[in-house]
Formats: sequence, C-alpha cells, structure tokens
Amino acid sequence: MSDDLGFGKLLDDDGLVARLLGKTHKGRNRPLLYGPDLPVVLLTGGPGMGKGRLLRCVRDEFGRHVPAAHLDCAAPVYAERAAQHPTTRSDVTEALRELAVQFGAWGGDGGAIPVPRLYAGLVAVAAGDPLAASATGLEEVRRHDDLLPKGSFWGGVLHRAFRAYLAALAALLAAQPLATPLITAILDELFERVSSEGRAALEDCYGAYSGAAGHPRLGLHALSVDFQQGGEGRANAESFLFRALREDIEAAYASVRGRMARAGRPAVLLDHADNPLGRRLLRPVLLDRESGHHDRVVVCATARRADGGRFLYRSTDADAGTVTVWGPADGGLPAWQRTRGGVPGLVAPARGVLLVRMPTLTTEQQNNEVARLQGHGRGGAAGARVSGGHPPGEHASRLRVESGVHRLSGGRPRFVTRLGEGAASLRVRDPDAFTDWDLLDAPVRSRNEPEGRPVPVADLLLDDLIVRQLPEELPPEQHDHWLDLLTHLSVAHTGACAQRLVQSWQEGRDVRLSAYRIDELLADSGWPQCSRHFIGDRGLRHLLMRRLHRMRGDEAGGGDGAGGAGGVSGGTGDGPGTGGASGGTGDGAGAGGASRGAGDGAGADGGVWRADHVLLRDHFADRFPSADDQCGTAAAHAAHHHLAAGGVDAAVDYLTGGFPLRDATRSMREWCAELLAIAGAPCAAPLAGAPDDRHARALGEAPPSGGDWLRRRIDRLLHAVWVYEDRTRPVDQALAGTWRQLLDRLTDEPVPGTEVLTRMAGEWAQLAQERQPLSACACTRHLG
Amino acid sequence: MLNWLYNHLWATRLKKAVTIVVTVAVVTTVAIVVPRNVGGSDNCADGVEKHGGECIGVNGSGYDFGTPEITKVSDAIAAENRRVDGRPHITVAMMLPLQPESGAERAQLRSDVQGAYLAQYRANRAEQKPLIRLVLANPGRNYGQQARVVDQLAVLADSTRHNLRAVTGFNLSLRNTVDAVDRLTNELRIPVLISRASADELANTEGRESKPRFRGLARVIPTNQQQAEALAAFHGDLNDDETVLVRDTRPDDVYVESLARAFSRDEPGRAGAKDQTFVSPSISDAGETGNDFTLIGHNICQSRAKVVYFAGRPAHLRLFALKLAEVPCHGRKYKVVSGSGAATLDRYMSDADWNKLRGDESAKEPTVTVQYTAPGHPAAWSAASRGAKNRPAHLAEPARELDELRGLVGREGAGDIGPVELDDSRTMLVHDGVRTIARAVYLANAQSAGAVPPRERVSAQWSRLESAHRVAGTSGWVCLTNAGNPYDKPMAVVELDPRTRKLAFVGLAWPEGRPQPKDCVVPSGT
Repeated sequence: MSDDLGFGKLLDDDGLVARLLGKTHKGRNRPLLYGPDLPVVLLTGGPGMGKGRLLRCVRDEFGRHVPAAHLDCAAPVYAERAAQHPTTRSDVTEALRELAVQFGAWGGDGGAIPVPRLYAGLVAVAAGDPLAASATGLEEVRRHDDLLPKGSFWGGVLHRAFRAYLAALAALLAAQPLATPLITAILDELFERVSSEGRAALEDCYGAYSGAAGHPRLGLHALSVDFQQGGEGRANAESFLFRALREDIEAAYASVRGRMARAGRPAVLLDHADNPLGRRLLRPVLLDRESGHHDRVVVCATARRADGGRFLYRSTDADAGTVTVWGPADGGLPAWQRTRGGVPGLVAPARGVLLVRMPTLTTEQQNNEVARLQGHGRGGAAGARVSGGHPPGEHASRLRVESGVHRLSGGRPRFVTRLGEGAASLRVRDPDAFTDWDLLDAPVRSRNEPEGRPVPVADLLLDDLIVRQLPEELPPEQHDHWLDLLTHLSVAHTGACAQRLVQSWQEGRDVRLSAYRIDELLADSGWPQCSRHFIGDRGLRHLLMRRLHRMRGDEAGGGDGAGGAGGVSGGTGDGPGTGGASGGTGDGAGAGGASRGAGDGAGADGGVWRADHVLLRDHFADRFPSADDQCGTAAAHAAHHHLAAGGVDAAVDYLTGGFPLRDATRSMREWCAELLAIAGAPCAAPLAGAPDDRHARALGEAPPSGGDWLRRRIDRLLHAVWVYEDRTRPVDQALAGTWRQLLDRLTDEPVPGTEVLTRMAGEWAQLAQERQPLSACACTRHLG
Repeated sequence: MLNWLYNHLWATRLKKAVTIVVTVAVVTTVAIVVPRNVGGSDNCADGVEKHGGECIGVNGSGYDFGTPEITKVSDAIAAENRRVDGRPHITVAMMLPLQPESGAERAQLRSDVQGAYLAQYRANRAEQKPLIRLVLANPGRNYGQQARVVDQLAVLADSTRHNLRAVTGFNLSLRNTVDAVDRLTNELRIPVLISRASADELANTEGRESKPRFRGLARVIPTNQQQAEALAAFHGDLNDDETVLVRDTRPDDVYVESLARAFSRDEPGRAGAKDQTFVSPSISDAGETGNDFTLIGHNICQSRAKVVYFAGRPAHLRLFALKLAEVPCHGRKYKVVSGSGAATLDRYMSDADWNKLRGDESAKEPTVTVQYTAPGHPAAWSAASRGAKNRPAHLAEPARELDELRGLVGREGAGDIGPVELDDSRTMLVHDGVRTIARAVYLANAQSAGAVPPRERVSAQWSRLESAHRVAGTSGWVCLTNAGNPYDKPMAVVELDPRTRKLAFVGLAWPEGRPQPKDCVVPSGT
C-alpha cells in the first residue's frame, strides 16, 4: 500500500475503514459497521499527523473497489470557479459538481453513479440569475451537461429523451429573446422530457424543499430563488443540493439494480474540512442525518482541532462530552450510536460525529521508517561501502538517531519522515557528542524541489507545519508575523509569562494578538496543549527554540521590544539587569534606536534567545516574592529564565540562598519543586555548538565557581538535574545514579525536611530508571 | 489471484448470482455430457465396468450382464463358484458377447452358457482335482472391446487366487476374435479352447513342418474347411453344373470366407454357373441384400443347378432362402447347403417364412429345403446306429455321454438354469469344450507338483487327448491332433423341413470321408 505509514490498524481488513466501506482494500466484502444511520467520521490531529495522507490512501486503495470521491476543501480552485459567476455559482456548488463528476466517473461494480437530482438542482441554480442575459444563463446551464446521466434512469426507457432534451436546450438559445424567464423555460423542458421514474425521483427530492408542498417544480424554483437571495437562503439551497447528491447516491444503491450490482458503501473524502467550505459541506450532512434523512454515504473528513471544530457544538450545550472519540490505539472498533432524545436542530451536531484521533507512530514504526529512509538515502553510493557489515560506530550513531527521532517527533509521522530523511544524509562523526539539535540541522531537500538547495530539516519542518498551515482565524496582518511570534513564545511558559513576551514583541503594531488568543489559534491548528509550556508540542518547541537561537536581531520580525532585550543581552552577568528590564518594558519612543542596538548586540547566534529569557527574567524578578503558577515563586521563575540565558551562577546562588538551611521560611518541598522548575530551563550551549560543561560539573569534575560546601553541592545537583531534564541526548544512567548521593549529602547538616529529601531521592531514582522526566507534563509523556 | 477471482466473481450480489448460475449450468452440463460422451467408466458389477454403453469385464459372482435369459444360469454358476471357493481350483473363462440385442441371439447365448455350466457341474463332481470355477467374460458387441477383457484375464491368470487356466467360448469368427485369441495364446500363454467358432483362421494348420499360428490353442469344432469337406463327401456324387455358390464378400468375416473357400473345391462334370456374390452390411443386418437375392434367384433359375452352396451368415441365408422360394421357376425345388452357422436359422424364421419355403401346399416336396452341417445333433447317435447290432465305440460312447447329460438336464440335477434346448448343438459343443479343458487340467495336475498346474502344463496336454485319453463328448469323440484340431470329428448333416419346421437329421458326415479310427488313434501325417 502506498505511504500507509502507521495506518495499519485503520486500513487493515477488519479495520474501521474496511468496515465502514464494507470492502477491504483488496476488494473483499466485510460486514457493514453501523447503519442505516451513519456518523460523519472526522479524522482529528494536528499538522503532520497524516490526515490528508490517510484520505489519499483510502482513495487510492479502497477507491478501486467502492466509489470514493476525494475533495480538498482547501484547494482554491472552487472559490476561483465560483468567482467567475458569483450569482449562479458558489464554492459549494463547485465542490458538489466535482464530487458528482467523480462519482460519474466510477467504473467499478455497478458502473457510474448518475446524479439526476443534483443535476436538476444545479440547473435551477444556474438558470436562476434574473439579470443575466439568456445566452449567459443558458451557457451556465449547458455547463452541467456532463452531469446528465447517460443511462436509462434519467431518460426513462428512452435514450432519445436525453438527446431531445439537449436539443431543446440548444433550441432555447436560438429562440432568444425568451418570452419567459430562463428558469421557467428550462424547467418546462426538463419536466416535459423527464421519464416517470425521473419525475418520481424529483418529486421525492425537491417536493420536500421548503415551500414546495410536494411540487418539485415549485421546489426547484424556490431553491433557485433562495440561492439568488444569498446569506441564509443560499446556505439552505447549498445544503439541499448536497442532500440531493446524497439521495442520488442512495438511489443508485437502493434500486434493484444497485442492490444487485453494487456492494459496500460509497465514500466522500473531504480533506481540510475544518475550513469554511468543509464546514458548509459537513453541517448539512449532520443536520440531515440528525433529522432522520439517512443515507449510506460514508463522509470522512479531516479536522485539526481535537474536538473536531467549534461548529459541531452549541454554546448552550452541556453534553459536549458525549461525543464519541476513538483512536486506533484503543483497539476494537468505535461503538458509535446517536444519542437519543433532544430536538433535531437544537442539539449539537457533534452527536452525529465520530472523532477518530490520528494515530502516532510507535517506537518500532519510527525505527522502521528511519531505517527505510536511510536505506533510500544511502542506496547506491554508500551501499557498497557497508556491504561488509556496519562500520564501527555506525550502530551507536544509528541508536542515537533513532532515540533522537523518538524524542523529537513524539510519534508525529511527518516529523519522523522528515527527520528520517535528514538522518539519511547525516554523517555522525562522534556519536557521544551527537545531540538532537544536530539532528535538526541535517540538510534535506524539499520534496517539492528535488533539485533545490538542501535546507536544514528543522526549517523544512517549520515550513510544513507552521507556515503552510496558518490558523484560519489568524488576521491577515499577522500572517507574516506568526512564525516569529511562535518562535519567541517557544521559551515561554503558559499564562503571564507568554503574555509578557507577546506584548513585548508586538509593540508598535496596530493589530495585536494576546498570548491567550495565540493559544486558542494553536489549539485550532490542532497543536496539543501543555500546562507548563506555551508551545505544547515538544518537537515543535525544539524547532522554534532552534530558530530563536539562530534569529538575528534585525530579522526579529520588527518586534520593537527586542531593542530593549538586545540592549541587556550584553550584560548577562550576575546583575539583576534592571536597566534591561526597563528597556524591555520601555516606551516605544526609544524603540528605533534600541532596535538597531539589538541588531548589533544580537548579531551572533543566541542573541535573541538571551534577550527573550532576560526579558522574562527581569519581568519576574520585579515581582519577587509573589507566587507564580509555574515555578512556585516569581523569583524561581526568574531564575529559570536566568539559567536559560546563561546565568548559571545566579541560579545556583538563588537555590543556595533559598535552601531551608539558610532560609528557614522555606520548606524543603517547595525548595525541591523550585529546583525542578529552574532545572527545566533550556540550555543554549549545545544549540550554539559551544562546549557543554554541565555533565562535568554534575560529576564534580569541573570546579564550580566557588562558594561553600552547600553551594558546591547544590551546583552539582542542579547540573545533574538540568542535564537529565534537558533530554537532547540519551539519559546518562551513571549521572542519575549520583542523585541519591547528592541529595543525601545535602542533609549532612541537620536541616528541617530531611525526610523530604530522602523520599525525593527515592522517587527521582525510580523515575530515572524509567527514564521519565522528573517534572511530568503533557508534552514529555512520550519520553522514556 | 484469489482477490482477482473474488472481485470478478463474488464481489456483488449480481456477480454472485451470475457465478452461481453459470457454475451450476456448467456443472450440470458436465455431469450430463461427460459420462455419456467422454466415456467415463461406470461400475456395472464386480469386475465389470461400463464402457461405451456396454458392461465390459469378467464376472463369476452371478451378474447376468443385463441379459434376463442367462440370469438363472449365471446364478447357478455363482452358486457353484461359491462351492469351490476355498478348495483348490482353477478358473475357466467363458468369453463371448454377453449382451446380444435380438431375442434369438439371447436364446443362443443361454444355450452356450448352459453348456459351460453343465460341464462345470459335472466335472466338479467327478472326483477330480482341481475343481473348476467358471467366469463369464464380456468382450462387447462383435468382440469390439476384447482388449480390456484380455487385460483382465491376464491379471486373473497371474493371480494365485483365481488361477485362470483356460479361456473358452468364442462363438463368432471375427477379426477381433482372432486378435483376442492371438494375444491370449501367443502373448499371455493362456490355453484357449474354441468350441463354437469354425473359421479356418482360428485354427492351427496341420503338418509336421508347419509352425502353430496360436500356441496352446485347441478346438472341439471342425473348421469350415473340414465341414465343407464333410458336406462335399456327403454330396460326393454331384456334378459341377448341378451346384452354384452364393457367397458374401463382406470383408473381415473369416467364417464366411472359409466357408466360401471350402465350397469352391473342384467338382467333376461340366462347369456350372459362376459364383454369385453379394455384400451384406453386417452379420445380422439384411440391408439391400434382398434385392440382390431376387436377381440371384433369377439367374439360378436359368441354370441347371439344384443344389445351392450358400457362404453367408444365417440372417442372410434366411432371406436368400425366402427370395429363392419366391422366384417363380417352373416348380423347381432347391436344396440350399450352408455351414454350421445355419444351425441357428430356425430362430430367425416366422410362420410366414416357413410357409413361403414350403411353397405349394399340395406339392410333395417343399420348394426350398435348407441343409447344413451341425457340429452336433442330439438325434445323431440313435439315428446313425439304428439297425446296427453292435454299435461301434465312436457312436456308443458319445451316445452314453449324451444320455447322461440329458438325464442331468431332465431331472434338473444342476438346479434351475432355464429351458435347455439341445437341438441347436450349442449346449453340447460348449459342454464338450469345458469337459475337454477339465480333462487336460486333470492330466496336467496329475503330472505336476502342487494343487494347481501351471498354464504351460495345461496347454501341453492338448496333444495328449487322443487314443487312451480321448474325450467322449456328447457331439462325438474329441481326439486332438498336434495342431489342436479335432481329428475327423463327425458332423451332423441336418435339414430344415419347412413342413415340420423341425431339424431333421439326415446323416453323419465325416471330414475324412470315413468314420473315426478305432479308439480314436490319430494317424501320423496329420
């Protein structure tokens, strides 16, 4: 199967897709799942989870055995076509037309699916513009000729009627100017030529249109008028057209011939269905099915938000939790059933939705994929070289790469594939010194430009995941700024921390985004949330942090606040940097000059990184000693950012000063929590390629910068935890083994809370053995 | 592949329906057509399979091959076979077409099988070892499928359970019969004794230098040549212009050919009419021969011939006799002389036929009388010795043998085997054949170790059966020459009298022109 990485359970012979469609990808029949009431299947997952790839897989593999129409709702072509004749077309009608064409082209069991009902509706809409010249109107009508079923259904017993109808349309053109409105003339011809079967079909369908009172001709008229009216009326007409298409498909299956010659269920595959066009297609399906208009079309759509999208819920609803959510990892098949009760139209459409979480890749799948891509990358040239076996060190570097991919990707397929491609071109010289940052630097050629210049895989991933998938509700003025904003926010915690950073970088802009709004937009894009990190996805955060570290002051997106930050970047010493803080929060008037200063000061790598951290350090240092929801106290929060900005000694000093032996007001538990919070800071040294002495200092091999015994021990402990929590390289178990000793030795002097230290030492040792992070959060759950 | 089949044959209801319908249609057609046309074999009975609509094979367990006439006798054979089971025994196969179509042929078949059975019955009670087991072998119509049966017989001959030691029967002289005998004797070395087929092609030629055509072949019926010679000797005083030969030129009928050859011998006196030929479609079909016979009758009428030698099968003999009687020829009377095959003539005759042959009721003699040699006649011995004081042994011993057989039949001592008619000589001949086999087996067994003699020993005994070891058959002494032919075996010349509709015994005819020598010592040079 093509590119079905990670979809095994969904696509296999008894998987969800095969059971929904009633056919395996090899064409074997399977008992149908659900029915006659079907859920709309929403594949949910953030960028790079393979939603679109899954739909293409379904189209390519299953589409050979059941009719499957695939539509990319984000493709601009529908809007473009609609814009050519806005009065008689909309993107929905164009999308429906596209679906009908695809169903009409079905050549498998049972043959093409005719769409007489949709045709009649589209013709009524096309002929509906009262202001259009009759030639133009007729041209619009004739545009749908290819949708006319060729078979006998529409023409009844006669194929000739179909020809006669076409001839009549042509004659209309010759007879201009028309005495009657075009729509009347067209409908006259239509109802005159149609067979009794066709008339019955139209009666069943359009007789039910609001105001038609059982008369299909009235219904079609009303449909046309509603479409012309725009707004709500047009939305009604559009949703009714989709119903007509589904009734066409249903009829093709429910007829005697259909029952005999067709098997399984047809599928409508809507990629990017959480955009406006997708929503306008999905909503009528949900409402129709809620009100009992069942059909057997398997509507399979993709959505980025984990809950499928806001349009599925009613704000007054309390029963949002009743939505069926299922993931392939849950095993079995989802037990979806429409909740009983409620008034159709007043209940949340989400009742009719089955949310399918896109699966992440298991470690084994990741390793296989990386190995596969490496096989590709090395194929000819290096294949001969390794023919005699792996050269020494290759195995170690392969393990490094695999664990790096695992930590960074978190199982996100796009991540794995890109990193695997990068790893394939990577030569690891020293596996011991190899960090995840090096993996992100691996050069890769974009798939779209196979001959282009290789770019670091991290840049390519950011392009894939962020730049090409901007949130729908992001104001256009922010489009160019979005990636930069996220880049800065990569170092932020949630809440006030992020808000401060965002404010600083948007000064001088007319339209500003709050951190909370950005958080919402990220959630809309399908990115996971983490209680501690603003960027809730570990891999994305690392991409952004890497970008932040390489950002130069002059390309920092016009964030005037950078001036202040850059100003202080020079003084990363032990000073509290109040001047820098005032610069950071300073007025916009001095921004211009400061900005240039930033350009100079942040010319080297890491300048903006330090500036952001210093900004946050100063922000929280000012608030000392108020409580902080992230790090316990604002001071600890400041120390965290200070540590990230390179202020190791300051952090050690802070922890030494706060140790209960020195500060009797503090409890040992609080101190331990602060230690973890501070040690969670990112480290710039490996990013910059600078020598990283943390490991040595944790083992006591590199001398600390002075101080008494307590400070030295705390220094070692902080470095040990810092290295462990950093996780840009595999866990050094020897280092983790020193914790207990370090913690124990802190209690050499009688100190309150010794028992806490002992207990903590046990817990940490246990966690280290399992390679779990010491401070758990949502985005690090896959580590270990 | 499986998926391809599934998607094309089973994916939808329509495909399923079409597949099922087509499959059922194909299977049904195949089930109906194949066994009928392709020749798929079917089992008729133990050892008997259906080939080409006939039940071909060997059976000794009471299967009647669908011929109701032999049901009783085959049951009797089965009972006798069961009796010998478990005791030392040899098997004798009776090979002849067992599914004849006409009633006349079926009655003849019954006579043949009855003869074999009666001989088996008597031999098994003669205190001689080993006992005889009798099996019936059907080679199909006209011996068409003899190869299959010969294959089966070869297996039986090699089997120590069955010990097939001789094959008898052979009532028709056909190319297939020759092939079967050839293979049985020369290839498989199974002793064969021909009791009913009289063609010269089915006999070894006499003479010290001549190499036997069939190794281990014996006969109890004189060849056509011998019969014709006997007849010629019987009518020795006729001139050539008093006789005319009418012969069938249908190829591959060796009986007819040898008969024609025998009748073509030189006769004294003026030359008579030339040979009159016709071609018959088959042994029993008349075809267009009736018209030929009418014309031939005209020609004969113009000649001086009174005696017509007829070299043809009985079915055509009947037609010829009728046509000859129809031809108005100034009240001339004819005597039609034919071979032993004519013994079955009366079975083809209807009342109207008899009346035609009789001609004018007031006439003293019938228009046409048919005379022929029968290999045996129950009245022969009594009639031939009538008036003689001391019956010679060559008459007395067969007479005694015949009386014993009559007695057995008369009191149904051998069980109910259906009506027994000795008149047509078949029962007598086949009976004598099986008796001859029994004697040879007994002699062979007396000379070799073990309970059952090997095949070569049995065939080696054929030439011993003369003089002291002569077999007194109901049809006369059987004294075999070194070539396996009966020496100077008497023929009964019989006449079909249309007035009485009975076979009238006319007299005994001897192929050598004189009765058999005393004690049946075969002279040298034969």
